[in-house]
Amino acid sequence: MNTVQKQKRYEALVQVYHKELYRFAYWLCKDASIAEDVVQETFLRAWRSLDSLQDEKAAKSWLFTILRRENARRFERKQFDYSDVEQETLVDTTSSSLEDTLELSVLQRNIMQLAAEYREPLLLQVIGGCTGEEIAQITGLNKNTVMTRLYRARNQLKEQLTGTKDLVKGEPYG
Amino acid sequence: MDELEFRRRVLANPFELDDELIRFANQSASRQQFIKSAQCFDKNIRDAVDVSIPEDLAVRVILKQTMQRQASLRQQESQKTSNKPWYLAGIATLVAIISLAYAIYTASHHNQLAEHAVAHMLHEPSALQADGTYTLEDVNSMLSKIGGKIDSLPGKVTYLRYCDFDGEQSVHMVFHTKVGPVTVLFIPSQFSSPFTPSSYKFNHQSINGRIYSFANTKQVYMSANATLIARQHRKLAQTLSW
Repeated sequence: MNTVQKQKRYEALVQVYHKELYRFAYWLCKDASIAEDVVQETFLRAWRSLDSLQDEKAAKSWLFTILRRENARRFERKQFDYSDVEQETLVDTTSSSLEDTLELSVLQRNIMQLAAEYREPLLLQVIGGCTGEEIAQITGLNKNTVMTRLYRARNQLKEQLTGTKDLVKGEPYG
Repeated sequence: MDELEFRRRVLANPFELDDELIRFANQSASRQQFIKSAQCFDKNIRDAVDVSIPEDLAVRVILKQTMQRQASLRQQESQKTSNKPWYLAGIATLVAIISLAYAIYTASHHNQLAEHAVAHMLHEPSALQADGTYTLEDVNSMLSKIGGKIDSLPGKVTYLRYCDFDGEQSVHMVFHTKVGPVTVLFIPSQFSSPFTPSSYKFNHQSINGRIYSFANTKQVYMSANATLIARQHRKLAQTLSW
Protein backbone atom coordinates (compact mmCIF):
# COMPACT_ATOMS: atom_id res chain seq x y z
CA MET A 1 0.00 0.00 0.00
CA ASN A 2 1.49 3.36 -0.97
CA THR A 3 1.57 6.38 1.33
CA VAL A 4 -1.47 8.08 -0.20
CA GLN A 5 -3.60 4.95 0.19
CA LYS A 6 -2.34 4.45 3.72
CA GLN A 7 -3.19 8.04 4.62
CA LYS A 8 -6.70 7.67 3.18
CA ARG A 9 -7.22 4.43 5.07
CA TYR A 10 -6.04 6.08 8.27
CA GLU A 11 -8.28 9.12 7.85
CA ALA A 12 -11.27 6.86 7.20
CA LEU A 13 -10.59 5.03 10.48
CA VAL A 14 -10.40 8.34 12.32
CA GLN A 15 -13.69 9.58 10.86
CA VAL A 16 -15.52 6.33 11.61
CA TYR A 17 -14.24 5.56 15.11
CA HIS A 18 -13.13 8.78 16.81
CA LYS A 19 -16.49 9.41 18.51
CA GLU A 20 -16.80 5.94 20.03
CA LEU A 21 -13.18 5.97 21.12
CA TYR A 22 -13.56 9.40 22.73
CA ARG A 23 -16.69 8.41 24.63
CA PHE A 24 -15.07 5.20 25.84
CA ALA A 25 -11.94 7.09 26.88
CA TYR A 26 -14.06 9.71 28.65
CA TRP A 27 -15.73 7.11 30.87
CA LEU A 28 -12.49 5.27 31.36
CA CYS A 29 -10.40 8.30 32.31
CA LYS A 30 -13.22 10.32 33.88
CA ASP A 31 -11.74 13.50 32.40
CA ALA A 32 -12.50 15.17 29.06
CA SER A 33 -9.05 16.56 28.28
CA ILE A 34 -7.26 13.39 29.32
CA ALA A 35 -9.71 11.43 27.16
CA GLU A 36 -8.78 13.59 24.18
CA ASP A 37 -5.07 13.05 24.81
CA VAL A 38 -5.59 9.31 25.03
CA VAL A 39 -7.53 9.32 21.77
CA GLN A 40 -4.74 11.31 20.08
CA GLU A 41 -2.11 8.85 21.28
CA THR A 42 -4.30 5.91 20.26
CA PHE A 43 -4.60 7.12 16.70
CA LEU A 44 -0.90 8.00 16.47
CA ARG A 45 -0.03 4.50 17.55
CA ALA A 46 -2.59 3.11 15.14
CA TRP A 47 -0.92 5.05 12.32
CA ARG A 48 2.49 3.64 13.19
CA SER A 49 1.22 0.05 13.18
CA LEU A 50 -1.48 0.39 10.52
CA ASP A 51 0.20 -2.19 8.32
CA SER A 52 -0.49 -4.83 10.98
CA LEU A 53 -4.27 -4.38 10.60
CA GLN A 54 -5.05 -6.99 7.99
CA ASP A 55 -8.83 -7.18 8.36
CA GLU A 56 -10.96 -4.02 8.35
CA LYS A 57 -13.68 -5.87 10.31
CA ALA A 58 -11.23 -6.16 13.20
CA ALA A 59 -10.47 -2.40 13.18
CA LYS A 60 -12.85 -1.55 16.00
CA SER A 61 -11.50 -4.19 18.40
CA TRP A 62 -7.94 -3.27 17.38
CA LEU A 63 -8.46 0.42 18.13
CA PHE A 64 -10.16 -0.20 21.47
CA THR A 65 -7.31 -2.54 22.44
CA ILE A 66 -4.76 0.18 21.61
CA LEU A 67 -6.75 2.73 23.57
CA ARG A 68 -6.84 0.57 26.69
CA ARG A 69 -3.07 0.19 26.48
CA GLU A 70 -2.56 3.92 25.98
CA ASN A 71 -4.78 4.61 28.96
CA ALA A 72 -2.63 2.29 31.04
CA ARG A 73 0.47 4.23 29.88
CA ARG A 74 -0.88 7.74 30.34
CA PHE A 75 0.57 8.31 33.77
CA GLU A 76 4.01 8.16 32.19
CA ARG A 77 3.29 11.07 29.88
CA LYS A 78 3.48 14.78 30.83
CA GLN A 79 0.13 16.52 30.61
CA PHE A 80 -0.62 20.16 29.76
CA ASP A 81 -3.99 21.55 30.61
CA TYR A 82 -5.09 24.22 28.09
CA SER A 83 -8.78 24.13 28.70
CA ASP A 84 -10.27 27.60 29.16
CA VAL A 85 -13.69 26.19 30.04
CA GLU A 86 -14.81 25.22 33.49
CA GLN A 87 -14.57 21.57 34.47
CA GLU A 88 -17.31 19.64 32.74
CA THR A 89 -20.18 18.57 34.91
CA LEU A 90 -21.51 15.09 34.74
CA VAL A 91 -24.80 16.27 33.31
CA ASP A 92 -24.73 16.08 29.52
CA THR A 93 -28.28 15.72 28.24
CA THR A 94 -30.84 17.47 26.11
CA SER A 95 -33.65 16.19 28.29
CA SER A 96 -36.30 18.80 28.92
CA SER A 97 -37.46 17.75 32.38
CA LEU A 98 -35.49 18.42 35.52
CA GLU A 99 -36.49 15.06 36.90
CA ASP A 100 -34.98 13.34 33.89
CA THR A 101 -31.87 15.47 34.22
CA LEU A 102 -31.47 14.57 37.88
CA GLU A 103 -31.94 10.90 37.13
CA LEU A 104 -29.39 11.04 34.32
CA SER A 105 -26.75 12.67 36.44
CA VAL A 106 -27.26 10.16 39.24
CA LEU A 107 -26.93 7.37 36.73
CA GLN A 108 -23.83 8.99 35.24
CA ARG A 109 -22.31 9.21 38.70
CA ASN A 110 -23.09 5.58 39.32
CA ILE A 111 -21.52 4.56 36.04
CA MET A 112 -18.38 6.53 36.94
CA GLN A 113 -18.24 4.76 40.27
CA LEU A 114 -18.58 1.25 38.88
CA ALA A 115 -15.41 -0.75 39.38
CA ALA A 116 -13.33 -0.72 36.20
CA GLU A 117 -13.70 -4.48 35.76
CA TYR A 118 -17.47 -3.96 35.35
CA ARG A 119 -17.44 -0.51 33.76
CA GLU A 120 -15.15 -1.40 30.87
CA PRO A 121 -17.12 -4.33 29.44
CA LEU A 122 -20.35 -2.33 29.81
CA LEU A 123 -18.87 0.67 27.98
CA LEU A 124 -17.45 -1.50 25.23
CA GLN A 125 -20.90 -2.96 24.71
CA VAL A 126 -23.08 0.17 24.89
CA ILE A 127 -20.64 2.68 23.36
CA GLY A 128 -18.59 0.46 21.09
CA GLY A 129 -21.39 -1.90 20.14
CA CYS A 130 -18.95 -4.75 20.77
CA THR A 131 -20.13 -8.35 20.97
CA GLY A 132 -19.24 -10.61 23.84
CA GLU A 133 -16.50 -12.20 21.73
CA GLU A 134 -15.03 -8.78 20.82
CA ILE A 135 -15.07 -7.64 24.44
CA ALA A 136 -13.31 -10.85 25.45
CA GLN A 137 -10.63 -10.25 22.83
CA ILE A 138 -10.12 -6.60 23.80
CA THR A 139 -9.97 -7.23 27.54
CA GLY A 140 -8.20 -10.58 27.47
CA LEU A 141 -11.01 -12.24 29.45
CA ASN A 142 -12.97 -15.31 28.46
CA LYS A 143 -16.48 -14.77 27.14
CA ASN A 144 -18.26 -16.26 30.15
CA THR A 145 -16.47 -13.84 32.45
CA VAL A 146 -17.41 -10.95 30.15
CA MET A 147 -21.10 -11.88 30.22
CA THR A 148 -21.04 -12.24 34.01
CA ARG A 149 -19.47 -8.81 34.40
CA LEU A 150 -22.03 -7.25 32.05
CA TYR A 151 -24.82 -8.75 34.10
CA ARG A 152 -23.29 -7.55 37.37
CA ALA A 153 -22.68 -4.05 36.00
CA ARG A 154 -26.32 -3.60 34.97
CA ASN A 155 -27.58 -5.26 38.12
CA GLN A 156 -25.55 -2.94 40.31
CA LEU A 157 -26.63 0.17 38.39
CA LYS A 158 -30.26 -0.91 38.54
CA GLU A 159 -30.27 -1.54 42.25
CA GLN A 160 -28.45 1.73 42.98
CA LEU A 161 -31.05 3.68 41.05
CA THR A 162 -34.16 1.87 42.20
CA GLY A 163 -32.93 0.87 45.62
CA THR A 164 -34.13 -2.65 45.02
CA LYS A 165 -32.09 -5.75 44.72
CA ASP A 166 -32.73 -8.07 41.84
CA LEU A 167 -32.24 -11.28 43.69
CA VAL A 168 -33.48 -14.66 42.69
CA LYS A 169 -33.56 -17.41 45.21
CA GLY A 170 -30.26 -19.24 45.19
CA GLU A 171 -28.32 -16.42 43.49
CA PRO A 172 -25.28 -15.23 45.41
CA TYR A 173 -25.28 -11.43 45.82
CA GLY A 174 -22.28 -9.32 44.85
CA MET B 1 -33.18 -22.62 31.50
CA ASP B 2 -34.11 -21.46 34.97
CA GLU B 3 -35.10 -18.08 36.32
CA LEU B 4 -31.56 -17.18 37.35
CA GLU B 5 -30.05 -17.94 33.99
CA PHE B 6 -32.87 -16.04 32.27
CA ARG B 7 -32.20 -12.86 34.26
CA ARG B 8 -28.45 -13.09 33.90
CA ARG B 9 -28.69 -13.46 30.14
CA VAL B 10 -31.18 -10.62 29.77
CA LEU B 11 -29.14 -8.25 31.92
CA ALA B 12 -25.92 -9.23 30.11
CA ASN B 13 -27.46 -7.90 26.90
CA PRO B 14 -31.13 -6.82 26.97
CA PHE B 15 -31.23 -6.36 23.20
CA GLU B 16 -29.72 -9.65 22.18
CA LEU B 17 -32.41 -12.22 22.91
CA ASP B 18 -32.22 -15.55 21.21
CA ASP B 19 -35.20 -17.80 20.45
CA GLU B 20 -34.70 -19.84 23.62
CA LEU B 21 -34.85 -16.74 25.79
CA ILE B 22 -37.92 -15.41 24.00
CA ARG B 23 -39.76 -18.72 24.36
CA PHE B 24 -38.97 -18.83 28.07
CA ALA B 25 -40.08 -15.20 28.51
CA ASN B 26 -43.37 -15.80 26.72
CA GLN B 27 -44.36 -18.30 29.38
CA SER B 28 -44.80 -15.55 31.96
CA ALA B 29 -46.00 -11.95 31.99
CA SER B 30 -43.50 -11.08 34.70
CA ARG B 31 -40.61 -12.31 32.56
CA GLN B 32 -41.82 -10.23 29.61
CA GLN B 33 -42.05 -7.25 31.93
CA PHE B 34 -38.53 -7.96 33.15
CA ILE B 35 -37.24 -7.78 29.58
CA LYS B 36 -39.11 -4.53 28.87
CA SER B 37 -37.82 -3.00 32.06
CA ALA B 38 -34.23 -4.08 31.28
CA GLN B 39 -34.44 -2.64 27.77
CA CYS B 40 -35.86 0.64 29.04
CA PHE B 41 -33.09 0.89 31.64
CA ASP B 42 -30.50 0.10 29.01
CA LYS B 43 -31.74 3.01 26.93
CA ASN B 44 -31.14 5.24 29.96
CA ILE B 45 -27.61 3.88 30.25
CA ARG B 46 -26.95 4.55 26.57
CA ASP B 47 -28.26 8.11 26.91
CA ALA B 48 -26.12 8.64 30.01
CA VAL B 49 -22.87 7.63 28.35
CA ASP B 50 -23.62 9.59 25.18
CA VAL B 51 -21.45 12.62 26.05
CA SER B 52 -20.75 15.28 23.45
CA ILE B 53 -17.58 15.06 21.37
CA PRO B 54 -15.07 17.97 21.40
CA GLU B 55 -15.43 20.12 18.33
CA ASP B 56 -13.03 19.28 15.49
CA LEU B 57 -11.58 16.28 17.31
CA ALA B 58 -11.17 14.29 14.10
CA VAL B 59 -9.49 17.27 12.41
CA ARG B 60 -7.03 17.64 15.29
CA VAL B 61 -6.23 13.94 15.29
CA ILE B 62 -5.48 13.94 11.58
CA LEU B 63 -3.50 17.20 11.85
CA LYS B 64 -1.26 15.81 14.57
CA GLN B 65 -0.62 12.62 12.63
CA THR B 66 0.14 14.55 9.45
CA MET B 67 2.67 16.74 11.18
CA GLN B 68 4.33 13.81 12.84
CA ARG B 69 4.55 12.04 9.50
CA GLN B 70 6.17 15.10 7.89
CA ALA B 71 8.63 15.43 10.74
CA SER B 72 9.56 11.78 10.40
CA LEU B 73 10.17 12.20 6.67
CA ARG B 74 12.34 15.26 7.25
CA GLN B 75 14.36 13.40 9.86
CA GLN B 76 14.99 10.54 7.45
CA GLU B 77 16.18 13.01 4.79
CA SER B 78 18.43 14.77 7.25
CA GLN B 79 20.08 11.51 8.33
CA LYS B 80 20.84 10.63 4.72
CA THR B 81 22.61 13.90 3.96
CA SER B 82 24.42 14.46 7.26
CA ASN B 83 28.21 14.34 6.73
CA LYS B 84 29.96 16.62 9.21
CA PRO B 85 33.79 16.49 9.64
CA TRP B 86 34.90 14.76 12.89
CA TYR B 87 36.73 17.75 14.44
CA LEU B 88 33.55 19.80 14.49
CA ALA B 89 32.32 17.53 17.25
CA GLY B 90 35.11 18.73 19.57
CA ILE B 91 34.51 22.36 18.76
CA ALA B 92 30.78 21.89 19.25
CA THR B 93 31.36 20.36 22.71
CA LEU B 94 33.51 23.33 23.79
CA VAL B 95 30.95 25.80 22.54
CA ALA B 96 28.18 23.88 24.29
CA ILE B 97 30.00 24.01 27.67
CA ILE B 98 30.66 27.74 27.37
CA SER B 99 27.07 28.36 26.31
CA LEU B 100 25.46 26.17 28.95
CA ALA B 101 25.08 28.80 31.66
CA TYR B 102 24.20 31.36 28.98
CA ALA B 103 21.36 29.33 27.58
CA ILE B 104 19.89 27.32 30.40
CA TYR B 105 17.75 29.97 32.11
CA THR B 106 16.53 31.63 28.94
CA ALA B 107 15.98 28.37 27.09
CA SER B 108 13.81 27.03 29.87
CA HIS B 109 11.51 30.03 29.57
CA HIS B 110 11.39 29.88 25.79
CA ASN B 111 10.89 26.14 25.79
CA GLN B 112 7.85 26.47 27.99
CA LEU B 113 6.52 29.27 25.82
CA ALA B 114 7.00 27.12 22.73
CA GLU B 115 5.16 24.17 24.26
CA HIS B 116 2.27 26.42 25.28
CA ALA B 117 2.13 27.97 21.82
CA VAL B 118 2.03 24.59 20.08
CA ALA B 119 -0.65 23.28 22.39
CA HIS B 120 -2.65 26.47 21.82
CA MET B 121 -2.41 26.02 18.05
CA LEU B 122 -3.36 22.33 18.21
CA HIS B 123 -6.41 23.20 20.27
CA GLU B 124 -7.67 25.60 17.60
CA PRO B 125 -7.30 23.68 14.34
CA SER B 126 -10.14 25.73 12.80
CA ALA B 127 -7.69 28.66 12.68
CA LEU B 128 -5.56 26.91 10.06
CA GLN B 129 -8.59 26.16 7.90
CA ALA B 130 -10.28 29.55 8.23
CA ASP B 131 -10.77 31.52 5.06
CA GLY B 132 -11.46 35.00 6.36
CA THR B 133 -10.22 38.19 4.78
CA TYR B 134 -8.91 40.76 7.24
CA THR B 135 -7.83 44.28 6.35
CA LEU B 136 -4.92 46.34 7.61
CA GLU B 137 -7.39 48.23 9.79
CA ASP B 138 -8.69 44.99 11.31
CA VAL B 139 -5.17 43.87 12.17
CA ASN B 140 -4.09 47.22 13.62
CA SER B 141 -7.29 47.48 15.60
CA MET B 142 -6.22 44.35 17.51
CA LEU B 143 -2.46 44.90 17.56
CA SER B 144 -2.86 48.42 18.92
CA LYS B 145 -4.46 47.01 22.07
CA ILE B 146 -1.14 45.35 22.89
CA GLY B 147 1.03 48.20 21.63
CA GLY B 148 1.77 47.16 18.07
CA LYS B 149 1.18 48.52 14.57
CA ILE B 150 1.95 47.45 11.02
CA ASP B 151 2.21 49.77 8.00
CA SER B 152 1.14 47.24 5.38
CA LEU B 153 -0.13 43.67 5.31
CA PRO B 154 2.70 41.21 4.57
CA GLY B 155 0.32 38.65 3.12
CA LYS B 156 -3.29 37.54 3.29
CA VAL B 157 -4.62 37.24 6.84
CA THR B 158 -7.20 34.46 7.03
CA TYR B 159 -7.61 34.28 10.80
CA LEU B 160 -7.44 37.01 13.42
CA ARG B 161 -8.50 36.67 17.05
CA TYR B 162 -7.59 37.75 20.51
CA CYS B 163 -6.56 34.88 22.71
CA ASP B 164 -5.76 34.42 26.34
CA PHE B 165 -2.20 33.19 26.47
CA ASP B 166 -1.16 32.24 29.95
CA GLY B 167 -3.12 35.18 31.35
CA GLU B 168 -1.92 37.74 28.76
CA GLN B 169 -4.25 39.15 26.11
CA SER B 170 -2.51 38.19 22.90
CA VAL B 171 -3.22 38.27 19.20
CA HIS B 172 -3.47 35.08 17.15
CA MET B 173 -3.05 35.56 13.41
CA VAL B 174 -2.76 33.16 10.49
CA PHE B 175 -1.21 34.18 7.18
CA HIS B 176 -2.18 32.25 4.08
CA THR B 177 0.61 31.44 1.62
CA LYS B 178 0.68 29.29 -1.51
CA VAL B 179 2.73 26.68 0.34
CA GLY B 180 0.69 26.60 3.53
CA PRO B 181 -0.43 28.63 6.54
CA VAL B 182 1.86 30.38 9.00
CA THR B 183 0.59 31.05 12.49
CA VAL B 184 1.87 34.10 14.38
CA LEU B 185 1.13 34.76 18.03
CA PHE B 186 1.90 38.23 19.40
CA ILE B 187 2.30 37.82 23.16
CA PRO B 188 3.09 40.73 25.48
CA SER B 189 5.97 39.64 27.67
CA GLN B 190 7.82 41.25 30.54
CA PHE B 191 10.40 38.48 30.52
CA SER B 192 13.89 39.89 29.97
CA SER B 193 17.35 38.44 30.31
CA PRO B 194 20.80 39.65 29.23
CA PHE B 195 20.99 36.36 27.36
CA THR B 196 17.69 36.53 25.47
CA PRO B 197 18.40 35.42 21.91
CA SER B 198 16.91 37.40 19.04
CA SER B 199 15.21 34.21 17.93
CA TYR B 200 14.59 30.82 19.51
CA LYS B 201 13.98 27.87 17.24
CA PHE B 202 11.89 24.91 18.29
CA ASN B 203 10.13 21.83 17.07
CA HIS B 204 7.36 20.43 19.29
CA GLN B 205 4.96 17.70 18.32
CA SER B 206 6.21 17.98 14.73
CA ILE B 207 5.46 21.70 14.50
CA ASN B 208 8.31 24.02 13.48
CA GLY B 209 8.51 27.31 15.24
CA ARG B 210 10.56 30.36 16.11
CA ILE B 211 10.18 32.82 18.92
CA TYR B 212 11.34 36.35 18.16
CA SER B 213 11.85 38.84 20.96
CA PHE B 214 10.94 42.38 19.97
CA ALA B 215 10.29 45.29 22.30
CA ASN B 216 8.07 43.92 25.07
CA THR B 217 6.60 41.12 23.02
CA LYS B 218 7.32 37.61 21.98
CA GLN B 219 6.29 36.78 18.43
CA VAL B 220 5.80 33.05 18.01
CA TYR B 221 5.79 31.80 14.44
CA MET B 222 4.62 28.25 13.71
CA SER B 223 4.28 26.27 10.54
CA ALA B 224 4.72 22.77 9.13
CA ASN B 225 7.28 24.37 6.77
CA ALA B 226 10.30 25.95 8.50
CA THR B 227 11.26 27.97 5.41
CA LEU B 228 7.93 29.77 5.50
CA ILE B 229 8.63 31.01 9.01
CA ALA B 230 11.82 32.86 8.08
CA ARG B 231 10.19 34.29 4.97
CA GLN B 232 7.10 35.53 6.81
CA HIS B 233 9.17 37.01 9.61
CA ARG B 234 11.30 38.98 7.14
CA LYS B 235 8.18 40.45 5.55
CA LEU B 236 6.52 41.28 8.86
CA ALA B 237 9.69 42.75 10.41
CA GLN B 238 9.85 45.36 7.65
CA THR B 239 6.42 46.72 8.48
CA LEU B 240 5.96 46.12 12.21
CA SER B 241 6.56 48.69 14.93
CA TRP B 242 6.00 48.68 18.67
